[in-house]
Formats: sequence, C-alpha cells, structure tokens
Amino acid sequence: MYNWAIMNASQVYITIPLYNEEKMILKVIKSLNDQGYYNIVVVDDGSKDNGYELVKNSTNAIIAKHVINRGQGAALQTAMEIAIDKGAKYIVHFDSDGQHDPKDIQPMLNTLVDGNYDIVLGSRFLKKNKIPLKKRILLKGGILFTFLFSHIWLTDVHNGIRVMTADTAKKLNIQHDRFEHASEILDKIKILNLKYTEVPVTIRYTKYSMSKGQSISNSINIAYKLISSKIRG
Amino acid sequence: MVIQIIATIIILIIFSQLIRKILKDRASLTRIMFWVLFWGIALVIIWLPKEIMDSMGSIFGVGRGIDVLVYLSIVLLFYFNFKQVERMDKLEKEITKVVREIAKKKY
Repeated sequence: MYNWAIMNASQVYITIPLYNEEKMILKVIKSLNDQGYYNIVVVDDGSKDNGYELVKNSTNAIIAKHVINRGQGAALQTAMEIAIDKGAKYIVHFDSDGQHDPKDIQPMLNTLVDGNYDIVLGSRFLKKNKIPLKKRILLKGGILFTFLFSHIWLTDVHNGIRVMTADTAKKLNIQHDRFEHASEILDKIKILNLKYTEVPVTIRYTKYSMSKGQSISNSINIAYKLISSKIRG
Repeated sequence: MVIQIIATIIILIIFSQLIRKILKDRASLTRIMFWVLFWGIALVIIWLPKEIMDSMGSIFGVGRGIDVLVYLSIVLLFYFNFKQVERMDKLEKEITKVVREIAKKKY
C-alpha cells in the first residue's frame, strides 16, 4: 500500500515542547523512533527537572533550552523555527506527556499530503476515546468559544497533535507564549484562510496526564487573554 | 475643608516628586508636562467654589461636581491600566525573543 508518511519520514520534523516531563520524555522519543521518526526537536522550556540532560545524553533528538520558562506556545515556536532551519518540509506538534499516540502521525501526514491541506488537526472526538466528564465539558465549551471567537467549527480544540507544511508553520508565527497559542493557531487558520481538516486521534488519559491538564480557571484565563489581545489588536 | 487641605498636601508632594524627576533628568519632558498639567488642574478643581463645581455636575448630567471628578478618574485609571498591560505584553514578547535567540544559538 502506498504510504507517503513512511516513505518521506526524513522530511518530517516532530516538535516537542518540554516542561518538567523527565518521567515521560524518553518514552515519548523512543515511541516516535519506533514509528520511524528520527527528526525530533525538543525545546526544554526552563524545566526544573533533568529532562534536558536526559534528552541530550540518551537520545539523538535535537534539544534546545529556554533559560527561563516562557510557556508552551513560545517553546513550540522555537522548536518550529529550529525545524525550519534544519530544512523540515513537514512539521508535527507533539506533546511531551505521553498523551499522544505516535501511530496517529502517519494517517495525519497522509491526509495532509493527499488532500493538499495546509494543516491537519487531531480530534479526540472523532474516535472512541475515554474522556473524563470534566474534560469533556471543558472541551465542548472550548469548541463553542472557538466558534464564537474565530468562526471556525471543529470537533476538538486544544488538542496538541497537529501536522502542517513548513510553509504553514512559517505563516502561523505563534505570538501567544502560554496556552492561548492553541486558540491562536485556530484563529490564524481562519484569518490566513488555510486549508484544514481534522483526523481522529487517540488521547491517553492517565492519572498522571490528568494532573497536568487544564483547569477551569485556566480556561477562563485563556479566554480572557485572547479576547483582550484581540481588542487591543 | 479638611479633605481639601489633605488633597492639596498630597498634590504638593506629587509636585515635589515631579520636580525631583526633572532635576535628575529621569523622565521625558512630555510626560512630566502631562502630569504637571493634570495635577495642576486637579488642584484648581479642588479649590473651586462648591456652586461652580455643582453647576459643572449638572452640565454633565450628574448631581454634584465632585461626581464628575470621580467618574473621570475611573476612566483615567482604566486607560492607564490598559497602557500598563500593553507595555507589559510588549516586554513579555521581548523577553521571549531574547530567550528564543539564546536557545537557537546553543542547540
């Protein structure tokens, strides 16, 4: 069977923002390697643990370090810029906490290339995923907010797994340093008129990942920051 | 009367701070001019007779002249807060830029 993703894995760069995930990051990198992805850019965002040293000493991933914590959006942007400098043709956003399944990258890449899309977003709601109720409510609220804010209707928002062309990554140029970047990306998809679609993905909810997830107050904060930045232009 | 005296003392202290800044050349002239004008007007308004203040109030559709001042200060406070947030945002972006450049040099 024709499989673009496998044939062209060398053109694909996986970008991972890393913050205090020393327990998971090596497993995540290994699982990506197992799927044939060796171009991995990790940006340690001022972690207080030994994640940076672990990645540097035990993997072949490219690792850069933010000397102080600037947020997931900032780390992703740094990682994308490094990937582009390295000659990436396709860029994948991937979380460092082990929630994502590397097997999802392949269908996403195939969809991107076959459908001539600019960006492909992962959706946990297009697949049977066990999503905790609190998370489900929060995400549905996020979907509605995204529709009102960016006029773009998706089945999932704030899902960290995305696949895009390098050209799209250049255009996105993430400005929001913290978690608002996820909404900023969706907003820019609409503003830049990018061709997008969603692909079903798996999200693994563990006690560990839930303890690191977004809280309600955090979500309100994200909405407030987005609205105020839009008003200010 | 007491409140007017207290307010005048506070404004005079602010004036002395402004003069200190001018002498030390620590602020831009336009900013100093703005604040001198602002507090100067405030000083005049404080000592305006009650009748004039209240007729000002009725022009703006509020009961007393002092209310006009209160509303105006709220608007001004919002404006300064907005400016402050804007400045902080800019600073945050600049910090990120520096952190990013350092990261990109060292990988």
